[in-house]
Amino acid sequence: MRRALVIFVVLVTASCVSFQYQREIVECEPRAAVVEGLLAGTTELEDVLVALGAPIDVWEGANGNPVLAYGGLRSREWNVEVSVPIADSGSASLSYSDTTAKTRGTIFVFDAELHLQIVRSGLLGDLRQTFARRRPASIDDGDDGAKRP
Amino acid sequence: MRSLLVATLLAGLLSGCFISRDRANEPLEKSKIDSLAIGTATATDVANELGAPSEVVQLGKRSAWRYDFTTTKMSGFTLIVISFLNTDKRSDRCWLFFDESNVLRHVGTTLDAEDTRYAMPWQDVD
Repeated sequence: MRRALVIFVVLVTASCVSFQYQREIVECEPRAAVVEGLLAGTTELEDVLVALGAPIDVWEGANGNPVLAYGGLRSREWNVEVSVPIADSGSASLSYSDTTAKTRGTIFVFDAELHLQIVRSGLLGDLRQTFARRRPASIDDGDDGAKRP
Repeated sequence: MRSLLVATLLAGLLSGCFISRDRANEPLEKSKIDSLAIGTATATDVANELGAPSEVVQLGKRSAWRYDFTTTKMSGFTLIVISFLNTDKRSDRCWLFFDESNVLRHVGTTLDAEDTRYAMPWQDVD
């Protein structure tokens, strides 16, 4: 009797509560031994490309000089999804994700002569904020379409 | 009776299995990339050989073009209320760096799309 009740509860909740275990693999982080061999001051852009291949991202650093980013993502997470019917024709969903993974990697910052100046490892999103060129903000048009002075 | 139960159980489990594959852009051809002469090929030559890039990044007076081909393989299964999923996403990438005269100066290529695997979340994938 109790077993039947458990099965019944499982079947009922299946329609509104679900769990998901997911692993995500995106590209590969560069090997630490290779990165350690690329030294600021003596390495050029060509050396980095030969050693590590194509970066996953390239952006404009300070003074318009290139920044190369290498990295990858290895994440494991549990998701819980709750779906509750609120009307005859629809339902409301709530999803909670315990995501701890972000893309980690290494960036290589070059000078105008394409000599390596800085090597930094960490979360690529944070590194990009720190090492991307900041351009002056444009002046938006007003609501009436007229240019601000 | 037992075999019927096992068959029913297997049918239930297998019905929740799935695999999928997603591809973005066309595979990169290494021979075409290798045919571009560094120091003489121009941005126009690159566009004629490889087509339009996925991204163009301005680097001061220089520029960099990205070409890529991405494969994503997803596999998993569902047991009543719990699902196990694995997603593996890798790409072929090529970045070409041009100087202020739009002459090709540097090329970086990585061809990893073939390494994408179907796997369960607990399996080792390199």
